[in-house]
Amino acid sequence: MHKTTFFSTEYNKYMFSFNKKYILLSHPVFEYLFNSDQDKKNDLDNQLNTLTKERNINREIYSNSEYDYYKRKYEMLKKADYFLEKNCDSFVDGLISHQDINFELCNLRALVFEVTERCNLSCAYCFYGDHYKQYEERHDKDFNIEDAKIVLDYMKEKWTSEYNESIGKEIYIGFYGGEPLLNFDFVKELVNYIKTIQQQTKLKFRFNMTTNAVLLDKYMDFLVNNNFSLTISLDGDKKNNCYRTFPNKKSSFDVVLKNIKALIKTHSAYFKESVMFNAVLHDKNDLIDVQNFTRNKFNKSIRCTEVNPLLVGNSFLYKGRFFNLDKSEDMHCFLESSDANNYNLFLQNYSKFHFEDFNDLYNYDLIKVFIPTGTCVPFSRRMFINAHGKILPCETIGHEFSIGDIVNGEINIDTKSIADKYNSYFIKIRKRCKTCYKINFCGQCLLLQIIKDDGTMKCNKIEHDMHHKLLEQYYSIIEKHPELYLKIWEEIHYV
Amino acid sequence: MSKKKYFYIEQYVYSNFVNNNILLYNTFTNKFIDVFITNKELLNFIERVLLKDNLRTIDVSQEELKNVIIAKFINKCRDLFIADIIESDSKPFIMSPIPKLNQNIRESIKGNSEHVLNAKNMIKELNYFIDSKKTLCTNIKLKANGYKQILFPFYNAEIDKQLEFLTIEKFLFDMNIQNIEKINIIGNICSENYNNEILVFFKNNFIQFHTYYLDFDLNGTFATEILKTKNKSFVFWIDNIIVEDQILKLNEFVIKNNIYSIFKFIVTNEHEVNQVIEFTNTITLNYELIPFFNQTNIDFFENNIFNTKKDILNQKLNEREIFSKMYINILNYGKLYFLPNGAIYSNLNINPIGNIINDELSYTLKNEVLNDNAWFKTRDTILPCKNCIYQFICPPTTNYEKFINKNNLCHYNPYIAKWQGEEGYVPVEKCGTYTKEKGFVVNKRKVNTLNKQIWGEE
Ligand code: SF4
Ligand code: SF4
Ligand code: SF4
Repeated sequence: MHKTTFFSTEYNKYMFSFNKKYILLSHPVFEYLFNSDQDKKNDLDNQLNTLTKERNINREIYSNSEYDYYKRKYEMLKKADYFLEKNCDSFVDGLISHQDINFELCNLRALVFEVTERCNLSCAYCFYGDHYKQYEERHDKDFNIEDAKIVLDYMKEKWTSEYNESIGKEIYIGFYGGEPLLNFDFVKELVNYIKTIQQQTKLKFRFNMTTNAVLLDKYMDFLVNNNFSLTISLDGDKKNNCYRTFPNKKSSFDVVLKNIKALIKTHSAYFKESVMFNAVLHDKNDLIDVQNFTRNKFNKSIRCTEVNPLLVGNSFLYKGRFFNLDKSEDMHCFLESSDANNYNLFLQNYSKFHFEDFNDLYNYDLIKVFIPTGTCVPFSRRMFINAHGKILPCETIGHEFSIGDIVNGEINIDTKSIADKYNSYFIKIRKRCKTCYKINFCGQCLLLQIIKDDGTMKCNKIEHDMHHKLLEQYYSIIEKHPELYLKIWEEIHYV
Repeated sequence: MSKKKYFYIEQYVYSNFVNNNILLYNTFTNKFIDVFITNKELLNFIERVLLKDNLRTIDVSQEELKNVIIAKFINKCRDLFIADIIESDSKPFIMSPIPKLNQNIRESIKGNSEHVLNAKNMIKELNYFIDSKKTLCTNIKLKANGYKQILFPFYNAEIDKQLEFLTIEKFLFDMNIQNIEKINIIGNICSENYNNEILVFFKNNFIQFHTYYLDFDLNGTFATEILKTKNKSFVFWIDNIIVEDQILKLNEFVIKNNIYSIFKFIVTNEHEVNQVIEFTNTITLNYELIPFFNQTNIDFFENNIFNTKKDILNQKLNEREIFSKMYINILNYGKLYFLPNGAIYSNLNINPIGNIINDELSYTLKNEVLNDNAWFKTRDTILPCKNCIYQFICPPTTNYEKFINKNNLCHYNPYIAKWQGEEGYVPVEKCGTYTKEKGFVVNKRKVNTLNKQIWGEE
């Protein structure tokens, strides 16, 4: 049962009702009456006692009329079930079926190949590099092109099956590494293969690649001609980018910058349209510096992810950023950061005004059942296949969570056993989730964050007595910057 | 920092402000304030509260608090727990109820027309008319436009031939059949024009057969065949209860075979209503009354169908329902109608949005999704409702409006903020003119004069 939570910012008192999903301003009389109601419920013999307390304590602080008014208001809210405890048990009772997984497979929007494990850089924080912890020994393996073609043939069947609802929408074929340009032959041959599939079917493909840009000068014409959507990894200016080095520890910055400039010079329209940047945040750079760098230098925004402590341990850890939202520069960066997404998620889950789509408006009162945690349904976001042929729900997940593989030219995806495996996780964790105050706002991935090496599950569960802290954290900031609300509410949309 | 007084509207209160007319509706208690504001200071005060950036929370000056009219307004709000005053060192944050639609396909289509494919998921109901030249119904008015007004199961395809099911099937193939909540098959199912292929195609959907009660042949092949299929239900349409016997037999048939059914009694006046009530009192029957506008019974509609203030404000709406009304017309949303000639409609009273023979599903859907035709025909897209504070509380528009030639089937005149029976009320028609082509056109001068007379200058 989820109770109403009272919380305060520096200046104001609020309360949140799980049942009504409203954060209202609270008056001390409410909290007082709520607590005495709880007392009464817990201790019937003590009723009289509480009633006397009620009179004595509050009459001293508040005038009769104020006390009476808020008592009446409290009764009104109570009658409207505002203080009713919410039973969230069924909320996370969702499981996935093999049909669900098959549906996602037939509608797969992104298929990503780890083209090679090899890399021409040796970034200090890279989980393939020195600080490699969770992964098996490096093999410097390349993806086998024949296997890749078999995967595409398999997916062609799926994409053209009756379960596909998105024919005509672009399917992204991703080339990931290591450094994918080190195995350019693979890229070239697969692109040609996909083009033949495109001719045979109604399917539409778009290629994307994440590269360190060291070899960009050599292959850019091919990428441009095939309209690759290109993501260049760069951690900011030369100083910020210091961990991105060649194996001989020499900085890669100058080479990369030179190549980007060459691309801009020869293909400026392409650069404007199809090139993006991403950066890893670590102890030697800073979100705002990095964003300013790409904005000023290339007139582009940049996607930043923090160095992942699960993969590299505590070295290189990004110290975090305190945004001074009074500064327009900080505000701008904040809105592009993952913090803004968290706010969006918060506002969405702590209010009633969010609708997913028109069908949600049509079924405005439907009670939805979710799968616990923030884990995605396999293949709903992507399919990642590593150079060893292991199939994974995305590139950040350890290979022990593979959901299929391709071995000796044979592809093996058993939707039934995937569903069973996931459901066993869900059933195990959901007992915990049912009493957690983050139940509708969890966002944690079972595979990435919750399941530990020894198979146990650990997460950042929030009990009732700590729930106010979470609310306080969000409300303290938004109370000072209410303009954030409209900005986030109106500008941030997720897919 | 010194303490200030902040006036704020509670999160659970829905507010609308149109032409100096304000509605504050407490969704917890269903109590409301609706006033036409003439006082300048109060008007300023309210405009400030409702200014989007202020998020319905403002600091109140001493001067404002001393103003008798503002103070009275604040007190009224506090009395109904619609708003409150709080003293604080810093402005509190109240998340004002602004609906957010994460994926707005109507917007995204404009950027990328491929997104229209997502609209497939919006289809909720298919209505499939079959040619019913042969019917025992003799009511000429019902036969003429009953299908357009109330989905009466008669469509006379005089020249059009009934399409082969193959053609229809080809068109339906692109849909996500499993997402469709209901299929209505409308017309004389017992005639030779109907064939059961459609049943095979929709074997897993919920199907409702609409038929005129006298046309249903209890001993015919359809009645025997249909018992073998699942997920079916019947709607029997009755325009008079002279042949009581047939109704009783039909009822017996559906009860015996455990088939969910509704008997729809078409009524055009109070006398018929009483007749039906009297008749149904004697038996157990799942029935509904369906008013039919026959051009001569406007009084019946005015007295029984038109909304009064009480009707509108006593609905016990929840907040999400109100937001839903801002975006879609829930009565029309997701419905498609097919005529025997292949024409596809989102509403039978407007132009078709496509044709089964020549058009693709995506083209058809695009026509609907990009316009305020039917699915998205909300009250703010039509006059005079566009100017009315109740626009998102009021029930959605229906088909009757078209036949009665009046968009607001209510006793309210939004231009002067008066309900029938209140002092100074004149009907909306006095504030402009209705034409078939343009709908309602308001006469601004007239409205100004009326408002001056009713509400005075100040
Ligand atoms: S991190 Fe987890 S939730 Fe996110 S895409 Fe990967 S598998 Fe899915
Ligand atoms: S934090 Fe833990 S207990 Fe809470 S919802 Fe997430 S996974 Fe469940
Ligand atoms: S004018 Fe329109 S919105 Fe207003 S009450 Fe009448 S029908 Fe409803």
